[in-house]
Amino acid sequence: MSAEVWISALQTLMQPSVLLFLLAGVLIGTVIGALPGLSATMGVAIMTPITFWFSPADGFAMLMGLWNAAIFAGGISAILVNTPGTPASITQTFDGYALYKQGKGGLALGINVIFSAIGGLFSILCLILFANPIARFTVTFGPTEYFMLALFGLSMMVAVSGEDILKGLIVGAAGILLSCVGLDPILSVKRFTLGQTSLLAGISFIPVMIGMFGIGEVLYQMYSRRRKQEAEEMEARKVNLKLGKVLPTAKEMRQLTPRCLVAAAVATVIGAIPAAGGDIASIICWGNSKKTSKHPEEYGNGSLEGLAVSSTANNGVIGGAMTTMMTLGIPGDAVTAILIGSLTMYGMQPGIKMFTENAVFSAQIMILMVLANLIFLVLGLATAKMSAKVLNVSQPTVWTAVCILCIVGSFALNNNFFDVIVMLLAGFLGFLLKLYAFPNGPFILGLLLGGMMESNLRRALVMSHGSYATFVTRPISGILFAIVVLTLFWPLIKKVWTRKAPATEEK
Amino acid sequence: MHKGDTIPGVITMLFGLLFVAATAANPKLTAVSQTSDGVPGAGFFPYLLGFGVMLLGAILLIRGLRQKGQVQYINLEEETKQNLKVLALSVLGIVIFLAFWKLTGQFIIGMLVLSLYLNWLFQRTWRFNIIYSAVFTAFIYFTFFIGFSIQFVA
Repeated sequence: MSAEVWISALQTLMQPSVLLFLLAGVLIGTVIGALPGLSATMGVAIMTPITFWFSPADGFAMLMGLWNAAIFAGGISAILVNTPGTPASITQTFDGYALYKQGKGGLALGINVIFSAIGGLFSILCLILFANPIARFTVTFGPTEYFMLALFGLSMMVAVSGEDILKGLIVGAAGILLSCVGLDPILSVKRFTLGQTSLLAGISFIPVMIGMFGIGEVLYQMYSRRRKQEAEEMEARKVNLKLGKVLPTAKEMRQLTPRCLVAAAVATVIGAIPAAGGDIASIICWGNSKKTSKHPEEYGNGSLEGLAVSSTANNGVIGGAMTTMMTLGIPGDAVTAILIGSLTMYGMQPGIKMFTENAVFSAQIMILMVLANLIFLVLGLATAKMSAKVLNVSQPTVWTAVCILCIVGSFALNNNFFDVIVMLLAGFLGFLLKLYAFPNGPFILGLLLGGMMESNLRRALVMSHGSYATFVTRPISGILFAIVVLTLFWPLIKKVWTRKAPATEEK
Repeated sequence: MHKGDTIPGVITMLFGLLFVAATAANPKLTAVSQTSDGVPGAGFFPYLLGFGVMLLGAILLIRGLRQKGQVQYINLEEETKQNLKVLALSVLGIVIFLAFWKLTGQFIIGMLVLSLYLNWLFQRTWRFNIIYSAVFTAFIYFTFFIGFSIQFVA
């Protein structure tokens, strides 16, 4: 992208409205992230319909602020109440809470803010550097490669969606099946529309996301509520231990930064892999850092190093996930899946066109992400000691708000009552999926990528005159096919391998 | 039989079957395109995925049967029963609100009542309930109705 593009993007972003929405997004994200039970995905899903009423720059300012801040703020509850605010903050409970109990809660909060921002900024730098070349590389892609790419994204989501690959496959396939509803992408034949004109364009993706991550999550929290435990947690939140200083010393910063930069690089790569999110990145980075540390015994008992690495990793995935989303159109995680929906609603298509036709907007998104990190860095440090107050909000208070906002948001998308029904049904489905231990990620990805898979599969077959060999004979497609097979059959291969190993040893 | 993966397996199979049957019932949804040789038609993907989902559902059902009741996803303890009651009443409240909105067109009043109802169901104090519902309704009204000019016509 040329200097002119960046200057033009900066000029647009220097408007007061954009900065105001960015600030609002950071504030909302901080509250959402800090509250256990509310995730960044839920926040972005609920706020997305509202942003459709803004200009693209204003709307994305709010979403970028919310997303980046929510991931960092997940660490607040992890540190203060030993409960991760978002799944990505899981490893922050290992050291953060121990530091809080040692009277170093302020320092833990400070490290969380500073290293989350470092991780975020590093990954955005990678996005800025690598997105354009990757996007240009995709020019060589045809329908065969795009089909394989979609299949690769889905297989990764299935593979990382838990131990149960069968259930991941089922929901992924069900999502693709539901994406068949509407007009056939090649021949425009009506499919499964039940005579409803609202279904001609297919099942709206955003209401499904709002339902699954909003109402569905709330219903599951209602079902799994444990009042005694809840009362104990609320009591624990009232006990405010001394927080102490917030800022680390220059020496501590010097000691922590190199290790965290490595974690940021690893997290960026993990983030770029479809479906591998902040939780996976932080677990891998924390584990690796422990292995290579001079003081591994401190990990899990209040290690500043462990907390800094975890904080870096969970925000470090954001730039990687955005790289995959913006260049290939494959969501890196659930939030980027919603952002694809947002871009589509604004009339933009992720992929090479984002860097040719919408280059200025792409630059705006990157700058917004940098600004979001800088804002939450300043705000987070300034309000570190006050952030504990957010945790006093009880779950039922949030449930009512989420239920109503889901209804309002899904209607506001298209002024369509049918979207509200879709949202409610998706919410109920999301609840059932959670109840029966089905991962909901592959369903969302299947629904989003189903159309892309089908149209590209059929186009590829038209071009190859019905020969399926095209999917393995073309180099990029062939490599992706091998990765897909390996990803899906890895648990089986591993099982056979581990069975063979002892047998060989016995011989 | 109700335990483990048996019921999810059956539901998955039925889901796949539903799509296969609907595809077979529509003459336009053929597996092979009528215009090009060997190229998939509009029914190809639904058939492929429908049969795939049925097969995966069957595997899940078999797995559920082999679990012999050792895996349980729903434990109906006393507290869970209470939670399910609150959950069912919440869903009922939302459905009644949607019906009321659709029939009368009164969104804001319906939303205020829904907020009061949900907070009552979650056992919040009356004082909290009234203040919360009033403030939240005002927020929705001014942001969406006035700010974004959404008419909320169902």
